[in-house]
Amino acid sequence: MQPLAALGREQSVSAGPETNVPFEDFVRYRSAALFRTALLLTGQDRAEAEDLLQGALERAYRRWGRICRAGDPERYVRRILANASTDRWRRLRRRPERELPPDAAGLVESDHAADVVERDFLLRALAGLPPRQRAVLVLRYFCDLPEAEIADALGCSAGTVKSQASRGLARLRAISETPRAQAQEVSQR
Amino acid sequence: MSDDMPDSAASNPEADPQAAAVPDVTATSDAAGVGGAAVDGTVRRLRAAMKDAVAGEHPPANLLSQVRARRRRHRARTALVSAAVVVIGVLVFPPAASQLRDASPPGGGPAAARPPAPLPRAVPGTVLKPCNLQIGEQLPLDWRRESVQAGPVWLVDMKQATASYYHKHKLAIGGLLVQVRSGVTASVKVVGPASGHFRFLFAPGDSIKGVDNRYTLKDGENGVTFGGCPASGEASFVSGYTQFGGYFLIDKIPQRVTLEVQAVGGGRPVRVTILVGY
Repeated sequence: MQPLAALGREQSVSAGPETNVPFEDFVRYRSAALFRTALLLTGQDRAEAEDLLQGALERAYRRWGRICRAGDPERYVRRILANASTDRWRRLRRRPERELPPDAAGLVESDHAADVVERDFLLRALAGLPPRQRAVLVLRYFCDLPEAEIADALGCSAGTVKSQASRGLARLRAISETPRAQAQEVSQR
Repeated sequence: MSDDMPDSAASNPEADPQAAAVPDVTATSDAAGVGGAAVDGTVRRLRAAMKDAVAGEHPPANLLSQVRARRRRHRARTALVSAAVVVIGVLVFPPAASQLRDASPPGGGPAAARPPAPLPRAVPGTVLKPCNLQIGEQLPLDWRRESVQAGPVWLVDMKQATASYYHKHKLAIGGLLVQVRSGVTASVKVVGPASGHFRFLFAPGDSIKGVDNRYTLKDGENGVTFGGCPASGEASFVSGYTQFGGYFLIDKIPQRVTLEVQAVGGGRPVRVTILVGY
């Protein structure tokens, strides 16, 4: 299928107060975007993300008719994804917050390398955030959802979304300054 | 029908219809109201990092079939849990349960006020499942896709039927939903080589022993006669059909099972073969 046609189909999947899209079409056209969101929600653990997405889609499949009648099925599935990611973490407590390696300067050899290191640091720091903070940041800055919709998805207030985003960003900012400073230090030598 | 996503979508991002679905995360200038140049920079870098990190990622090509398999497992678990609840109910409230069984009026509940419709007769060798034992489980919009039709009967989700073994028992049980065209009485019988290995469990109270490990194939029936309700009395969410729920027992899986469906008083019998697996 041509990308343009796919775009048109995609719009029909997610738009409108009431949609009547077959579940198979929804999976075909929206699963990649949802999978990428799941990857970020799980700290880029591919197996975990696949499991998360499967579970969310299975739950949606059970009540697909009702979801379509309510409109915007993607919003519903994304809500399941976000909540399931925080629930799983709460239940399994598999991964405590991660410590970052103390010294990344050895990897910093050029501006490009510094960018790569910084990106890596950011992603690992994101993965190490508490699940709710991570979910807020992913929904806000990857999915570009407004705060009200994030609050709706996570079942909290818009104020909580703001404060979680603020704390998460503060933490990422503090962490990302480390390789940046180290890169500058190396370039000055 | 294909469960799998197109190969091109899984392997070639250029041809991927979902490529356009990735939000252009760098296009938004908003910094979420958490202010400051440093935060703006962090947001910008975070957006770019997230976008780059997952740009080439695709879900597994067989995602749809995995979702369906997961749903079937969920249904099997739900059936077993329901059976457990019934068992507990019967154990805890045996007098009430026996009263219910003895006094069960045709239609039950609100329908009990109506005069009972004459019961259809069971086809020889089958157990009767009359209209008053219908159920009303909601089905997904595309339930027909995974279901098998034989004349006036739909065997729901039986294209890839699944059953689960009991613990320490060489017998598997699976849930079976049947949709019968309303107003029609039809029998479903197991025929052919599998008839010694497969039984229906549709008689009232059949699920009681379900989780108690005491079933044998002899507990089941070779066939069931379903008495479809008149259109005005159906509880199914699918208009024009009466829904019945029950179980099947099977002593060896995977196995192909041939079922013969015959509408009472009309037409030739129709045979369908289903594969029962895990």
